[in-house]
Amino acid sequence: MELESVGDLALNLILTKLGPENVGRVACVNRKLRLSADEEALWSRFCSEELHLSAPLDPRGDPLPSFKAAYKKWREDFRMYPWPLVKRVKRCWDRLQGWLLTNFPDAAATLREGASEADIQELESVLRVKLPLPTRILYRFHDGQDFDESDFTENTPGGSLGIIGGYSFYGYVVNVNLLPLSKVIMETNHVVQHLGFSSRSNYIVVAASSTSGEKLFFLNCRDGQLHVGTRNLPFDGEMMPCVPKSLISSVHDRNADLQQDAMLLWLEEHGRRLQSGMIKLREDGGVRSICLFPEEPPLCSTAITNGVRIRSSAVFVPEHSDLQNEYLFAYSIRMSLIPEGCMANEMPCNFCQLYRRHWIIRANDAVVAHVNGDGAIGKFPLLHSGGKEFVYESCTHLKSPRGSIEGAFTFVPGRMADPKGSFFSVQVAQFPLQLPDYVF
Amino acid sequence: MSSSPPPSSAAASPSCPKKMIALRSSDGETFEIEEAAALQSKTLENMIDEDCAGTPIPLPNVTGKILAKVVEFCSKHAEPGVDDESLRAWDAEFVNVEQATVFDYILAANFLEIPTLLNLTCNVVADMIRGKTPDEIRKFFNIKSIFSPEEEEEVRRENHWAFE
Repeated sequence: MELESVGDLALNLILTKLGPENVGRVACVNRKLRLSADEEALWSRFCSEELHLSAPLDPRGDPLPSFKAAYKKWREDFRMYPWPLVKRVKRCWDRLQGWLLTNFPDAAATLREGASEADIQELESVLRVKLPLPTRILYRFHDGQDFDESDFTENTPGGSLGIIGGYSFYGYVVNVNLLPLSKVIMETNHVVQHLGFSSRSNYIVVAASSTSGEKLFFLNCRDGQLHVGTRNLPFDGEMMPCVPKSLISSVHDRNADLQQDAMLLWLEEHGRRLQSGMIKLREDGGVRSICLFPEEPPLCSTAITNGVRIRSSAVFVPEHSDLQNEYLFAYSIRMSLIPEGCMANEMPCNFCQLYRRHWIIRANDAVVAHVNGDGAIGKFPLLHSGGKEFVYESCTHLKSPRGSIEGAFTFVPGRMADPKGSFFSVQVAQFPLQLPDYVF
Repeated sequence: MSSSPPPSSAAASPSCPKKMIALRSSDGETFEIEEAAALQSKTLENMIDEDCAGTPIPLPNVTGKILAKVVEFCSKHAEPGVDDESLRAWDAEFVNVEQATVFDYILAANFLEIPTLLNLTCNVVADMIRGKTPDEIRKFFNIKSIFSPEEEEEVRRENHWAFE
């Protein structure tokens, strides 16, 4: 009784259980087993399970004649890295790219092809650093983002296609994109010189806001942490970490069980937030961009009073904060009138207009400011029932990294020029201001 | 309730004896198996449905030695109230046998379409193969058969990534 005689069904089941590496070895045993081990159904399954491939494509996306050939190409192209880490990085990019292709194809189109090992080695030699393993693999899949002339218009002087996205308030616009290796070299040389970092510095610039030179993300190649420059960056090089330090491990050790650096963790978290709808695409004046103001509780609060819905959330602005006593938070308020309208003198009314605002700002749990004012950022938006949200952004400084804002708006049913009833107060439910564990 | 039973079975009553199916091995031995246990085998289930369950069912592909064990396996897996952990331990003991016997179990499980037994025995063989080099696999399973030098080189080249 021999192994080969157990029958094709059983052999296939055994090989399926063994996984690709062992099946590759079984193929080398004898002719009969090689035939069973080479079956396309097996390799189609392995390609699907490990690489989520439904067609035999190589890492560049070009077709190959069989799933077995495709699997082999992937393993060969990435043979210098731990395979589980390669699969994890692919999953991370698949999630990001998947979301972009569905929701923001213009930005998906800016993702460049993967860098080659030679490209990476060149960067390492020019900047005299050694990239952490997960970051190397991230660049092997996509070498940052590419923009062309048409991405910069009058409306989007800095571009709006950054896949990290950003925020805007009072005309200050942030939109962060991932730099290709060529720009990483340029920016790092420029910044490091400019800021007076030592030439043996381990920092490289990996992401930046295209709209303002003020927001820069630095990867520390030695320990794998990602940092963003604070407002003191130009003076004393102050930066803050973007990812919880405890999660970073074994960034240069090919033999470790688990390697994760800040770049990988950061992009994985970003992908999760996009997919869960915690952050979404924003359209403003015909321009679409990824907006970092949270859209879901607990970071985004919602309250409906007399038909007026107010959604509010804040985002931490690191590049205008410092770590001693100045924390800047931007917040976004979205207001709308439900389709049933508001009530005025016991009659439904299809319009209402913002008249005044009142905020209570807390640092930790202590009230630090009351704000009373007319309208909001100088505007008196008119809401009509079932209409689009009116959105505006503003900001506030806190002396501590934790606080909250709550308040109320005063509305008039109808319009101020033609009121249909008396003023009514609309709640802005409390929303948190907090230094996040992941900083984008 | 149930449709009228075939003539050879006992009459239905609250404490009626379980319905037994008779099986005959390739070497003429007869075994009895409870219907519930027999239903573990898709092959037997089909035969029972077609009402051939009166006479001993001939199984020309399975010897008495193996059929006895298969009956034991199916009966155990049809037993009510056995917890997962004890069943797993029992299964581990069941397959703690010679290589050749495991292969016989596979063939029987295949022929009789018993998914639980097929899965269990294929896991055992997979465990025997896992982590071994091609040479070690040949030694362990006493596999002859030589590639020609060109074939050997070709197949090694095709699969060299599996050795890194």
